[in-house]
Amino acid sequence: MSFKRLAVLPLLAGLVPALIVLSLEVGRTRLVALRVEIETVKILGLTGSIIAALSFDRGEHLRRAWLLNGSCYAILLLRDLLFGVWLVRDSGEPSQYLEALMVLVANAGAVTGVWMLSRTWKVAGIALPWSPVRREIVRWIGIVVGFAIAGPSLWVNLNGAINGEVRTIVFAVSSAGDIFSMTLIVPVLLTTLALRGGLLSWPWGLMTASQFAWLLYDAMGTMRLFVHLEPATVTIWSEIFRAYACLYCLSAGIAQRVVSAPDPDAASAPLPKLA
Amino acid sequence: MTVRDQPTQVAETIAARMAVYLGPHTARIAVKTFSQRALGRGPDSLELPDVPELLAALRPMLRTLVGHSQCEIVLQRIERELGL
Repeated sequence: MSFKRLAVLPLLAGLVPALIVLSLEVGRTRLVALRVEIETVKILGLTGSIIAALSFDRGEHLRRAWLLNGSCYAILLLRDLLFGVWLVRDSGEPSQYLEALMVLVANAGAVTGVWMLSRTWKVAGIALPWSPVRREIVRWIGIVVGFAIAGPSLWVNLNGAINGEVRTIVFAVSSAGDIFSMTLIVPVLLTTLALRGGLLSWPWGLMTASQFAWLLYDAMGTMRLFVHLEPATVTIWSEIFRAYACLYCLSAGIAQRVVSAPDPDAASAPLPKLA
Repeated sequence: MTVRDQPTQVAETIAARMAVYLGPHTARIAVKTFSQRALGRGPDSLELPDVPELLAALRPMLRTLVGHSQCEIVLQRIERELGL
């Protein structure tokens, strides 16, 4: 298995939404094609999370982290299925509450999963690179970027949330979760840097890419609040970043499986020269 | 690093095998940290009789990162390379 391929293929496959939007006229066909693409990448993200989780035994830290990460994709897929086939969003309060609850639980799963991934270095007992001061600076940069990207959306929804509107409460909580997730990219990135030169840097690096793509996906939503953008442009970029996020999650899962597969050949690979 | 602080051949062998997964820097730091934690000594005084205890200390770390099966294969491989 070539790790480089796992890094390059999502870059190409993630361009499918652009092809759909650019090649199909506005209309039902384009909507259906985009919907199929969105559900497909979510299924692939879920698949990646499950593949990675199965690399670990029951009760192990990373198994739980990956399963929680995958639970977000699973619940959102279930939501899409329910509201795409049986329910409609304006069919009354119960369905609104159901959707709100599902989005809430999905976000909680994703945030907890990434939080667990971000703590792996501590659980394993490995050291992160850089000095504590430098790490703290980078952590604060992550927090500021998180607030800059998801903060405006939190602010917009806060008014409605205070008035008790269910959907805006969910969006506000979801934005708060996004801020938290974004700040967690930094420790995941630092773990990748700590593992550089080793096989484990591949799953961790690919997972960092996935998280970074989610950050850009959220950034598109925020940009729409401040800058006038053509709807087609927003759709293209949002869906490209969503596809990257899901596909890099799949790649990370496969890479973790390859690294963790009980393969005596991998374990007896030539020793790297320690400088 | 003074000459006295140089890791022994045993420490280097363990670090090199783990570097396949953890990368050279983290592998070396891990050997240092866990040998101090498990044996109360640095990698500069690590000898063959210390290896079982050190590998036992490294096991949870490796297991967290690569999973149980691969962890056991790596540890067995280290033992074999050190002739244990």
